[in-house]
Amino acid sequence: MDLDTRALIAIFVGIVVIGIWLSQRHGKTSNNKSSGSKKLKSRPNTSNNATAVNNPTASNPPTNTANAPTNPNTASPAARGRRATSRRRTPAKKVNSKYVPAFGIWQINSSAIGTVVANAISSGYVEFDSSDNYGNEAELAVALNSHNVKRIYTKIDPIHYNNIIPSIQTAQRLFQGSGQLVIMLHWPGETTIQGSVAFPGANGVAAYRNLARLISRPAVSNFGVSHLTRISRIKKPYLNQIEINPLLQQTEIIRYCKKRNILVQAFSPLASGRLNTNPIVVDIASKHSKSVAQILIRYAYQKGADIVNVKTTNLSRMQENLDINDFVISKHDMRRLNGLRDDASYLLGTSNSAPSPQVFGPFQKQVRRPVPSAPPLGRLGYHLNRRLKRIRTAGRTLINTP
Amino acid sequence: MTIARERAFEELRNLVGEYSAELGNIHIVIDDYERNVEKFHVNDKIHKKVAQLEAISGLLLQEVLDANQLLDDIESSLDDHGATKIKVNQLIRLLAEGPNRVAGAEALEHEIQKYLEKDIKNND
Repeated sequence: MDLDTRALIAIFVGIVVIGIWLSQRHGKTSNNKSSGSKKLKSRPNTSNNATAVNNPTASNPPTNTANAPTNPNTASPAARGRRATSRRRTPAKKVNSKYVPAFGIWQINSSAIGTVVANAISSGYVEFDSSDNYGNEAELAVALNSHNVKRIYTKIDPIHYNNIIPSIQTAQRLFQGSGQLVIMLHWPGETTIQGSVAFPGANGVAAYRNLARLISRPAVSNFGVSHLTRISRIKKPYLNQIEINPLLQQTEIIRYCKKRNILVQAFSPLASGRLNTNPIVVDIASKHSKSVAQILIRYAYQKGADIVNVKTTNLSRMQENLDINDFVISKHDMRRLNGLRDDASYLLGTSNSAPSPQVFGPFQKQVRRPVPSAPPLGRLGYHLNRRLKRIRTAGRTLINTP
Repeated sequence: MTIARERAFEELRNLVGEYSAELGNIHIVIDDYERNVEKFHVNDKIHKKVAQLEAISGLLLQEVLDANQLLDDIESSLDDHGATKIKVNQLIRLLAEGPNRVAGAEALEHEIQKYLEKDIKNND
């Protein structure tokens, strides 16, 4: 074979190799292009989601993007894990459902309760929040007597923790036949606030143990993460009621409750009026053509509350507070509201009368006080018997000594 | 009276005093029930049991009074050995009933608790 023939063969082989390489490269490019087109196809779904979130009344439910591109059964475990995580984080919670706040009666004059409750029921409220120390619970019970509402929340004051049975019975007797009754402990128990002891002798753990033993849905209020962890060893609480608003966000407690399926109920969503003229809240309200109150109630729901308590004696505001289902606060605006956090409010709450869970230290391990409703009569009997023996001995000495 | 007898008598008086004080605790418990019984859900059985508890507390109170009277009688009869012996035995017999009554009060108290709890569970 001469030199020319060899050169021709080498050139031919070179052309074939280049051809194969080019064809492989072309194939890769076309694959990439096809996957790119899939991504592009998925984009309209994303925009649909945004529309649905911003307009909860939209008829199309939000599409779950995790279902679209690949078959979940054939995807790798890592990919499945990623999708599962993204599904958990999807803020699709109750987007298309309707939020109906509960009606709180704190600080409403007992003489006005009848009218206020009648107006609230006619406005559409189906849940009512009360407490044995509000001073108007009996009037609420009378006002609800002729109506059957969905649920009534009531709280037991720490002064009754050591003898909880009469308090439970009073609540049951008051609201018998009015709706489902949820009884909660109002505070974790004894604590020291600004140098003075609040709720002296109140043992939250013992009270909760009795509550959980006696009723099927024991609930609590103003309990922090450490308190919830402790009482969950007895029985998981049904609900925890805490103050939630941009000043007091309680993110950790909400996260804890969500993770363990404990319902979160928010009180004072309007931060006791301290945000009525706040420029950020006013700006967001004007953007949605809503009132400041509506924005703050919606904020509490989007922050993670399952139930939000509202209170007003004004009929038009009662109706206004229910009109919170046709808008959603955007993530950007939620971040702006979150920026209003005020740690100084933790001490006594925004109302300056309701200490936050952070004020209460963790439950003491060794705190076990005798409950007066179950006095240690057994021990008394034992001591009486021992004393009787000593009386007999002294008596015999008296008789037998000359 | 010899020192031994004086000490024995003092011991007897102290013990009856302590006994009275502890029986007073039962009255506190019963007072607590009386205060709360109006708050309790209307239940005839609870009212009946509380009435029984009150009756026991009345007996115990009477025994404490009788014990103090016997102590006074013993003091005045210390020179008469036979009379002292009778009074001391009366006192011991009287106070021997106390623990049984306390046990009865304890059982009643448990029954009341049981009724109250049953009532709560029925209404839950």
